[in-house]
Amino acid sequence: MSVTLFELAPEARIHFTKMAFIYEQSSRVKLKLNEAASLITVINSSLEKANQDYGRYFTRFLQALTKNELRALAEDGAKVYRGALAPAESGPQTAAPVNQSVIYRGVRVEGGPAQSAAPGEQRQASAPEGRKRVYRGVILDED
Amino acid sequence: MQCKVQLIVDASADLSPEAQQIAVLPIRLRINDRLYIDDGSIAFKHDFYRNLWRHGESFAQVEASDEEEIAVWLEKNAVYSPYRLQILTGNASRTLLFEKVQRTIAENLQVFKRLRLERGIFEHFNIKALGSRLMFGGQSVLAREASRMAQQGAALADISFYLQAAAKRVTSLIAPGVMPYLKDRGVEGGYGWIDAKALNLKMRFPVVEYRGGASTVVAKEKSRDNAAVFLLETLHAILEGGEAEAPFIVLSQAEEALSLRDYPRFSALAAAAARRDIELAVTPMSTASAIAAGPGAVSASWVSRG
Repeated sequence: MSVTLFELAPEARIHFTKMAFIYEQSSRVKLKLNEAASLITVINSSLEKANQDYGRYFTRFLQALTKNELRALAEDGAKVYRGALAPAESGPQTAAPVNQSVIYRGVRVEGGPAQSAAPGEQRQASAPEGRKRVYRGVILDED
Repeated sequence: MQCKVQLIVDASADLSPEAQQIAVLPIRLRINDRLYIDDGSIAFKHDFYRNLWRHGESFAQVEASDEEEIAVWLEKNAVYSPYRLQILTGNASRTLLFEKVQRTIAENLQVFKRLRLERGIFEHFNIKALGSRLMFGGQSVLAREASRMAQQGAALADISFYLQAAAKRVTSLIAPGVMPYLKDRGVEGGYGWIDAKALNLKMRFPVVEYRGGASTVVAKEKSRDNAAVFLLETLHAILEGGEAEAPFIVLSQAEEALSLRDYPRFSALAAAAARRDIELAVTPMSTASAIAAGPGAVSASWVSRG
């Protein structure tokens, strides 16, 4: 299910619009902000330049999204995995994967039993398809 | 005719419940280390006076909302409204809040305009923040008159001119509340916008006049009741002398149960106002004003002639 701008919280709308201004200025492309595709384009562009102009708004934009919105954005192709793989808030709980692969400190642990994360580390389940290394929501490489 | 201009005031204005066309920007209150959002509603004021603010026991102060909070409120309440222009007027006592509002508007106006367009609202839109050096009900008097002008279809230029010109002529009289409370606040953090020199604590119950950013003690009374009576008598004399300009006078009281109407002088005052076609609004004092002026404080605000 796609998410559009006016379904998001007001603070998310404000920060997204600021990110969209930056995108439009740098790419010289005019967006229709309420289209689902525009959200994905701007988010992915923001992630590629995470520590540049967008940085000020991107974190606050993500914080203003619900888990379901993050999940929907990820399904639509936004490279946002922060909370996106958490079970849907209102949907049925998914069963735990039998053969779980775990990324621990950036190293893939194949097929073994689920390991507890070290203190201060967040254990990250892999995406259902393909191999990805994810660091703070940014896909570093993809098989 | 559809009104194109809407007035917004912050919740520190003593706005009476009848002023429904004016939007109210909430303020933050910290009472005994708990944070409350005052949306300016009568319900919140009643709760504040009845439950939250124990006279002499509570330490309460107003905090400026942060800029994101202000931006979100504007986005939700102003940006998609049918009004083409929102005028946000600021109270002199809330300097920090007003500065934050100004910064928020400067940083987000283009965002708001874009969001409005994306929603398919193509009429021109703007938000302006106008500061006025007013106290107590003064902000409310101006906002109500400007709102009335807007309802009647007055041009923006006329409304702006009125707001700027009349702000210099707004006068407020205040009879502060319980003096020990004010004294304690003085020890803790100053008198807020009640001038400490004007409020000489040797005068047990002064009546202070505010006009044009200056304050003057105009009477010293032996009791709070006497100070309130003096305030009502002075206002009556001003009305009879034709010194007040129509159409509004705002009387506010820092208590849940408004006892002003029970004062013997009140009915004569109301009659004098009616004769001159001036609306006399009696309202609970805003929480921000009450915190500075003390429990039981009474204030009157009007626009003077000349």
